[in-house]
Amino acid sequence: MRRALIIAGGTIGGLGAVLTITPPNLSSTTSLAGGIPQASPSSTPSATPSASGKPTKKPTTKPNGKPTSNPTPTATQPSGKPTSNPTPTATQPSGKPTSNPTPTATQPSGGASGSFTGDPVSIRYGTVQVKITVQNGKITDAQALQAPTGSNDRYTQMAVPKLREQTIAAQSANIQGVSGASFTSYGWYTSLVSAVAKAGL
Amino acid sequence: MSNTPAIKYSSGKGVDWAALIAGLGLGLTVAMQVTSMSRADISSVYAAITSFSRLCALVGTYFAVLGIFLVARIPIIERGVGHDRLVTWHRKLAPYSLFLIGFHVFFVILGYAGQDQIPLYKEMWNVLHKFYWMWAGLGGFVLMILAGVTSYKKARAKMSYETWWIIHIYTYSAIALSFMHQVLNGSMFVGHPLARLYWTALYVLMGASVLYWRIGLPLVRSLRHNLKVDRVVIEGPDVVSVIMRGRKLHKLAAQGGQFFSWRFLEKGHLLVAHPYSLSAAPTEHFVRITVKGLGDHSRSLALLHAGTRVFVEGPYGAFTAGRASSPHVVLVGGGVGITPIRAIIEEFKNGVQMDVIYRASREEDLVLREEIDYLVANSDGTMRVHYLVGPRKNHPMDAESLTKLVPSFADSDIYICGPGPLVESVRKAAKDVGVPTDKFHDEAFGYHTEIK
Repeated sequence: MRRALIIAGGTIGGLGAVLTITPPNLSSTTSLAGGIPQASPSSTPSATPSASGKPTKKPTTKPNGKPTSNPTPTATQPSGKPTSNPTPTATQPSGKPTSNPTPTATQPSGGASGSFTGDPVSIRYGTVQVKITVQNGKITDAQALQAPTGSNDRYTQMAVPKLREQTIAAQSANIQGVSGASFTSYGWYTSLVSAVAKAGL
Repeated sequence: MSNTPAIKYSSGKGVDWAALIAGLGLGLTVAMQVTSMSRADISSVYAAITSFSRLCALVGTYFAVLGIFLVARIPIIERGVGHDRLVTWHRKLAPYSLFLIGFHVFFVILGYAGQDQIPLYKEMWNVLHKFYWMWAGLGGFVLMILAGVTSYKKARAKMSYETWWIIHIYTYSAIALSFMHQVLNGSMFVGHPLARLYWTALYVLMGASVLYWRIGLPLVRSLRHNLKVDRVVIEGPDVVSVIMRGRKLHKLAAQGGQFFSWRFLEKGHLLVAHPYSLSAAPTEHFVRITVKGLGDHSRSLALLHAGTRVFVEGPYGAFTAGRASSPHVVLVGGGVGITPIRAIIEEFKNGVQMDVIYRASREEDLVLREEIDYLVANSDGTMRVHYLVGPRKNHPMDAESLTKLVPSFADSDIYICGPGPLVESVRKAAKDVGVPTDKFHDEAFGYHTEIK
């Protein structure tokens, strides 16, 4: 009896200690920011936006909110959109110059349009790279330029359509991910963060 | 590899620590899952089912690992708890482990199938060949089921100890086989190096304990003490004693009342080790076991050849004279259960008053009777023996009859080894007269596993 109490005490103590240090992230809608070390290129930026940037972002207000920020040179971008994701953009200044010329900035008042390609993110099973299509500041489509193939296409087949839906619904990188495809989801999320940043959404 | 002849008895503190660590481990195990959970894991019914299945897997596997630790023959735990009780805990814990892992297999397939919207059998195939190390995991699961089924009481009764033992040993492979699929696919391990480290450390520690205490140490001891069969003596109908000779046997630090697991290196005995109690206190050169021929193995012991090498694991068991705290002890032996009693008699110091109650259903079942009579005759009156022969109804073994037989029964340390019903009625009698539980010492395992 006494030992049963000791065991129970140990269990609660161990559980409590761990959960005090790293509580589960059940309230945040972003499940993917936990940081998967294997995802080398942008695992650091991904951890930060989830904590700070995400909740304030309202995609519908953005396009008219900063009509001038997109046509302007890329160097001003980090400072130009304080309301959107501050951290990811700050770390990707080098990625910008190549991708930014692609958008056809024909409608300055309606927000960005065009397709934006996120950084490739290598995950355990391969590489994930997301391309989003934006029209007037709205994400209308999201595709996986690269996704794990071969014996792990199970994840891709299952996850990519759902991730696409989530992306379009969220109008941001603020997605939940797909349970059972944590790697692919994580890669998608990380790549999407950079794509969204490039689009200036 | 202790060379100290003195046996130390753990105060129970060591066991408390072990219990605390076991509890802590369970907490950490559950925490690995909980801390890595996100909203996505509970966002739909099927996602929640998948999460639940993972929790089942973790706790089930933790129980399995704990079950191995319980029978890893870790000396401090063996001495503090007693081997028979450890085995009982192992037996009680194991089914939960199997059920939980079974839940995991079912629910993870159900959860995935629900999320993918495909039938269960398709998902089963998917899961098997799309994730890492799944076939190994499945193999481990099947082996675990086999061990579970064969350990189920009714099945166990139908097969020989040898068959059961070999199937049971496969559980080690089962636990090893399932490891990779856990750490490579599990959402609580992928991307959580600390969780992976903890889990791996748990497995390494388990493996090391088994290798050291169950294999390495016994091997070294057996070789060093060079134990060989000296002769086999027929003690009575179906009862044989095996006397073994070795060198420096006192360094084994074995005591009367303890037992070893014996493996005779002879055709027909090689594969399986059997637990038997010492039937006399060990000397520097000799040890003896006395076995009643009920199982295939014990019967064939009569045919052992002199000079056969013997490998031993042990000594095990907390059925030792050192645990007594009263100046008076009552020693109860039922049938061939007298063997550890016979051995422990020699371990009590001068001045301890002993009452031996020897219970048997027939006169000819009183194994080792001459030796006990001899010990009584040479005990200077410190030892008495009471033979209770006949059917159970003539000897109720309750508080009243035992107190009548041994007036100081209530103030004694009680040692008992025998069939379950006998142990239980004496336990009840002891409880009725107010003997505290820490003065009641029973040994079920070393007595003879084949008697149930």
